[in-house]
This record gives sequence, C-alpha cells and structure tokens, in this order.
Amino acid sequence: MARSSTENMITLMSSDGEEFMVTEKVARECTTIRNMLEDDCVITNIPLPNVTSDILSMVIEYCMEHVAAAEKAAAETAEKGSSSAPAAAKANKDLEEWDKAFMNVDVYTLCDLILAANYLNVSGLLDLTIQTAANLIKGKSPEQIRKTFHIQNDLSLEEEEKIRSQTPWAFEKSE
Amino acid sequence: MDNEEHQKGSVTYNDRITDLPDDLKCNILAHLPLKEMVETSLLSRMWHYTWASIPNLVFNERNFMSIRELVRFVDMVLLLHQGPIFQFNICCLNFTHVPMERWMLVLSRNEIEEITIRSSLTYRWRICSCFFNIQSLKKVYLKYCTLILPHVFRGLKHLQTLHLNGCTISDNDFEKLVSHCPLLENLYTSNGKYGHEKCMIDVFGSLSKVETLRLGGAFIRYLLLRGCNLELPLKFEHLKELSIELAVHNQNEAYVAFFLLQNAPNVQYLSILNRPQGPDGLMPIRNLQNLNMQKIAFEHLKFVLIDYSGSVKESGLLLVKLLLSAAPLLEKVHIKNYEKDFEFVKKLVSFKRASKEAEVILFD
Repeated sequence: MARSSTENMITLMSSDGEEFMVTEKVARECTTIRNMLEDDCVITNIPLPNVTSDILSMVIEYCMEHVAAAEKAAAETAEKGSSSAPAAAKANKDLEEWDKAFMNVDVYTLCDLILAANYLNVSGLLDLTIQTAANLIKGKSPEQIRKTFHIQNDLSLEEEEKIRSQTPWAFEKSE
Repeated sequence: MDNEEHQKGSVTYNDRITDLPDDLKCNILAHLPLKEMVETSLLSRMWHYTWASIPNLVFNERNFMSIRELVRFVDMVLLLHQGPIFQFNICCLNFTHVPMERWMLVLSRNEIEEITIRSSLTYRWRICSCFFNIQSLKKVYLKYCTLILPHVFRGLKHLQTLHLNGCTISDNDFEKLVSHCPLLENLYTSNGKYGHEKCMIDVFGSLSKVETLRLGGAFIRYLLLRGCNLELPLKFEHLKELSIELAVHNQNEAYVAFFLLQNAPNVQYLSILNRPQGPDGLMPIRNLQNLNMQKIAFEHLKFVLIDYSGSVKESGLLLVKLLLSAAPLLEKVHIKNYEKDFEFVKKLVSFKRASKEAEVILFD
C-alpha cells in the first residue's frame, strides 16, 4: 500500500539536537505527543528535551513497527471481510518475537527506555521494558542483582542484619 | 565486555535503575513475587523501603511464618506506603487476630479501588462495617466472608464489579447492597448461603443496569427453589453477557437458565459451565421439552460457549437443540469437553438451525 503523500509529517527533536521526521500516525503512538497535537493541531516541530537521540530513535523504531503491524492486520481484515484467527495469532506472535529481539539491550539502555517510554507515554513500550527489567531481577540474589544493574552496596553489615530481622520470613531460604 | 568491569568507585555513576523515579521502580517490583520484592531492600540504602510503595498490595498468609508476621508486615507496608494504593488483596484462613478494621480505615483514606478478601469455609470472616463506607471502591472480590450491612448504609457509589464466592448474606442485605450500587455492571455469585425470607425478583429488580452477569454454582438452585416463579415482570435490557454455572443434566436448572435468557433480550454472549456434581435426583418440575418453542427467540445471541466438563447425559444436548433453533443471529457455538461418541455427534448434527451462519465447533 502506497502511503499517501499528504500525510502529515512531524519533526521530533532530541535533547542533543538531532531531528527525526516521522508520520503523524507514528508520533501519535506517544500519548504525550498525541495530546500536544490535539491541543494544537498546527504543531509540526516538537522538542523533546528529556530524550537523547539514541533512545529517541529506538522509541520511533518501536512505534513504527507497532503501527505497521496494526495497519497490516487492519488491511487483512478489510480484504477478507473478517479476520482469520490463525493469521492474527501468527501476526501477534511475530510482533512478540520482534519485541523480544528489540529488548536485547544493555541495562543502561533499558533504564533509559523505561524513562523515555514513561515520559512519552508509550504504554506498550513501558510495559515491555518494565517486564524486561523485572525478569532481570527475578530469581536472583541481592548480590547478583547488584552486579546486573551496577548497584553499589552502601549498607553496613549491621544495617543489613537489621533489615533481615525486620522481615525474617522474606529471607528464609526456601526448601 | 572487559571494560564493563568498573572500578568500585565509578559504579554509582552507571547505576541507572536506582535513579529511576520511585513509581517506575515500584512498577518493576510489582512484577516480582512478594519475597523477592522484599529482598530488594538489601540492595542498598536507596532501595530499603522502595518496595513498600507499590500500588498493588497482595498478601497471602502462605508467605508468612505466622499470622503475627503477616500482621506486622501489612502494618509496616501501610505505614511506609507513599502514593496511591489501587489494590489490596489479602488471603488468610482465619482473620480473628488480624486487625482488618484499621487496615480498611487506612485504605479508605487512600482512595482504594479494588479489594480482594479471601477467608476460609471454617472461619468465614465477617466483613467489618467500615468496609461498607469505602466510597472509592470499584471492584470487590470476596470469598468465604459473611456480609452484614451496617444499619446506615449509603451504598457504594462507584462499585462496578462485585464477586461473592461462597459468601453468606441475607436476602434483605443482598438486595440492599446491590440496589445501592448504581454503577454495578458485573455481578458474580456462587456457592453462597442465602437467606430464605425474600423473593429474588426484588434483587433482580435492582440489577436492571447490569451488563455482565455471572451466576455460579448453587445460585441457580437457589433461584429455582426460591423466588423464581418464572413470571419475572422486568427485563435485563442492558445485559450483554450472561454466564451461568449449572447442572446441565438437571432439567429444572436448565429451565431457569432459559428463563433468564428469555428475560435478557440483548444478550450476545452466553456461556454455560456444567456443574457435574449437581443433583439430578429431583423430580423435574418444569420440563424443557414442554417449553413452548414458538414463544422463544434469542434475538441477539451470537456466541455461545458450553463446557460439558464431567459426564453429560443426553439431556445436556437438549440445551444446544433449543439454542440452535431459537437464535436467528447465532454465529458460533463452541462445545468443550463433549461426549466423544458417535451418537452424540450424530444427534448434534441433526438439530435444526434458525441461523444460516451458525457454526458448531467441538473442541477439547
């Protein structure tokens, strides 16, 4: 499907001054931007002082992929009159795989993406990144978590002991 | 990768997760099991009480060594909590030594929206009266509780969903409760003990705005034995989704299901779950076969799911027969756990269908 050339283009500007041209549809995936557009429909240039160009390009990549997937599903439904369940299930699975591959990033990028998804209010991306972060914590000892996220332990042994005694059940070794 | 091994002193610089705002950190922690969540208090000073502010509080007695531990912990969480609490979920066999009253009071000040309380059959917890004053409530799930309304009950103005599972409540109170929740859309009751004084029609009268109705277990039997005189004056105009648990082989119960359906002309989704342990020894008071077929039409019914879990005698098929013959817009009938024998399928295929589009799908 050829995209109509009349579709509005929006320029997003990252904190380090890089400009990204995206279609309005892609920009609207970010609820924060959608609200700006709805408040003031002639706006075409949006500065995003909280997002660096590396992260912004990733957010745009995510939005473009999800918009394309939604358009494809809508086109198929229109063609066949109704959506076929197996095809929809496959498309969903493909998108899930894509998300999974997209989340193959280091923990710094992950945290920056969480911040950006939160600031731009891209709920799908926020859920995805939060879940990914939780998976990185799950099943790990405090020491392992610190290592994964480069957290410095500033607790003294006494403080640690005190925390353990406050909620002894939580620190019982299972089995 | 080698340069990822930082000197101890410079590590803080790269610790982005600690620098995330607390609400985002809580979002992450909310995905962890309780024990692991609390374990994060050992990460560093900054993490000590972070977990205490998660918006969805879920406590299960199983996670604690004793009730005392549980009480101490919940008290601590409620004391340390910052920001909104959306959900409070507690599961405890015996609430006798649990200060639920003060917790409910704290929650009511926190604009709590969703409360789940699961007690046990042996120690049914009597809901404390301050619970009924929590005006912010939108969803309530109660299991094995006893509900007695306070003398002055002004209703729960924002309540949308009410699940009563195995709860005890008098007819009067049930009616009063349901009729004082103007936004109620989703009601689920099952295996409860209900009083015997009043006709259920009054209760149903206050449910005229409900869009989703899920009736479980013994409720159908109760309807049958009590108020359901099958001449209900009102209709559930808004009801779109009806889900009923009944003993399919019991013709009386099937009859009640049809009766409800008849009074809900806009239902599009119907699901019927068989309750195999249900009684079948009763004399059929009202027989499905005697229904006047001309009078019945399920005008808007589109999707039906029937789960025959457990063995179903032939009478179970009657249900499908009636549905197929009386629903002109029917699109799909899903049948789960059906009798895998040729006779069953043969009969099924032979039924007349009022809708050209009707598709019957058998699956396990």
